[in-house]
Amino acid sequence: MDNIENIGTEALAVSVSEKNLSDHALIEATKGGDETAFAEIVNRYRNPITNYLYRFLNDYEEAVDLAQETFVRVYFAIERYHTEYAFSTYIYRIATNLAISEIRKRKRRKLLSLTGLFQSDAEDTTEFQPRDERSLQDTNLIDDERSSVIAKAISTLPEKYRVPIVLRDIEGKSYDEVASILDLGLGTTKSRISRARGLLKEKLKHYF
Amino acid sequence: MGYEDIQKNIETEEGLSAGEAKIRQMLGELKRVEAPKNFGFAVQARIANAGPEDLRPAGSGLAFLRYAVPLALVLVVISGFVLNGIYNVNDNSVGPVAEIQPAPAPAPIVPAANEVAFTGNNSQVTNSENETKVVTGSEIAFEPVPGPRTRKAVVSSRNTNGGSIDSTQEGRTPIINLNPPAGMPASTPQPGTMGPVGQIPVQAILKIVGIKADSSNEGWKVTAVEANSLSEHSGVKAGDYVEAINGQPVTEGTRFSGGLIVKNLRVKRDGKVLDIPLK
Repeated sequence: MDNIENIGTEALAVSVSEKNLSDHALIEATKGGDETAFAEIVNRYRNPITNYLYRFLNDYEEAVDLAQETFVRVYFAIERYHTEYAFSTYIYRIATNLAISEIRKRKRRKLLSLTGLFQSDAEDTTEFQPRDERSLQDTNLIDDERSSVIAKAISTLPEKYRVPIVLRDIEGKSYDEVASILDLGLGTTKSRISRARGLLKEKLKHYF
Repeated sequence: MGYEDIQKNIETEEGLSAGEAKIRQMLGELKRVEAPKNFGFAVQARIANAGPEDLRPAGSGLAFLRYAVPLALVLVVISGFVLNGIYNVNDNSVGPVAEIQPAPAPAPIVPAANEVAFTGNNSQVTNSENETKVVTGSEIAFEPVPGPRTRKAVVSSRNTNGGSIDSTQEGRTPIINLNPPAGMPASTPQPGTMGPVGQIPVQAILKIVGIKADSSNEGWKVTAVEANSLSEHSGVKAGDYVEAINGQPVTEGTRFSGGLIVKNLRVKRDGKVLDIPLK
């Protein structure tokens, strides 16, 4: 019984100590074969990456799948990771590349889909409908409706505007971080974010 | 970075227009989704089950082959169709031609008196003395051949689409026919340039009527007149300058085409211009 308690205490101690480690320290520990260090990395970034990909793709299942794939890529490429820039920048860049690839795959599939030729684009026709002015008892429903429309509006932005505005206005990254993740100049990044806000304002004018 | 930190970052941006600030606020208020509870386990499972393809870095060069190989095959097939199409076009162009009966070979010319037969670059000339000579270029000489004496002259030229010089008018005057398009006038190219293919130079025409001449600044200077030729009978003399044939001024580069009946020559003799009809 004492042994069991001791083991539990040691595990707790390890867990607590890893939570205090920096990202770089966890990476180094992972390189050294410490699987729990990598588990801490996953624990640290799984929600932000999942949320980022969800807002980017507007598809939760796909977002979760790509978020998991992001961590798999990080794990197998961990030897090539260099600490000259932040790990968060690194992992967001991987997630962004995966998401962009996924969007392009979707476009190809849509292009090649014979049935797609005979389907109307329901998303485009419904997302910008004027909001229902009827009073609703449950304010949560109103919030959900508005959130849904906003999410769809974001998903219709061109990817070069969608990525930076999600990183900036949803994920709360600084302009410098967004520029670093996207490997763009600071001016270009600010310009694209401003342009994205303008496009969204036009799409969501019924909510102003 | 926690949710509170993100909210703080979003709220602290300054200098935005009211519309931009509103958009920023709306995006910042979106409900954040979380990863499922088994997320970490799923990642570990995917790592454990990862195949060799997962170990390759993203964007491996081998992935390029998935597109390059089919693309190359498509290009090869398209190239085949294009080349085949080109050859088919050629075949189509040949087909109708193959149905055309070949033009009958010109009837062999039986040399007669004053007869000139061109074969390629060579000419077979028969004079009124029944002398025949195969000549190249401008040299004409004669050798006796059996046959009746006539004044008929025929010129054929295989390399000028067939043709003949037929001299039946009054039994003396040569008709030069190279089968050109009807109505094509005599042309006068610049000196030193070639005339149209198949046209007869002045020197050859003069030789047919019995004149040996060289080009000079004043015209074609007659250096010799063949004995018993049309020109001799008509009064052309050595030392004359031939200025025109049938009224058509001639220079060194003048070529004649179309049916040509040599009716008269304009010559300058001792400063005087004489029109000499050939008879």
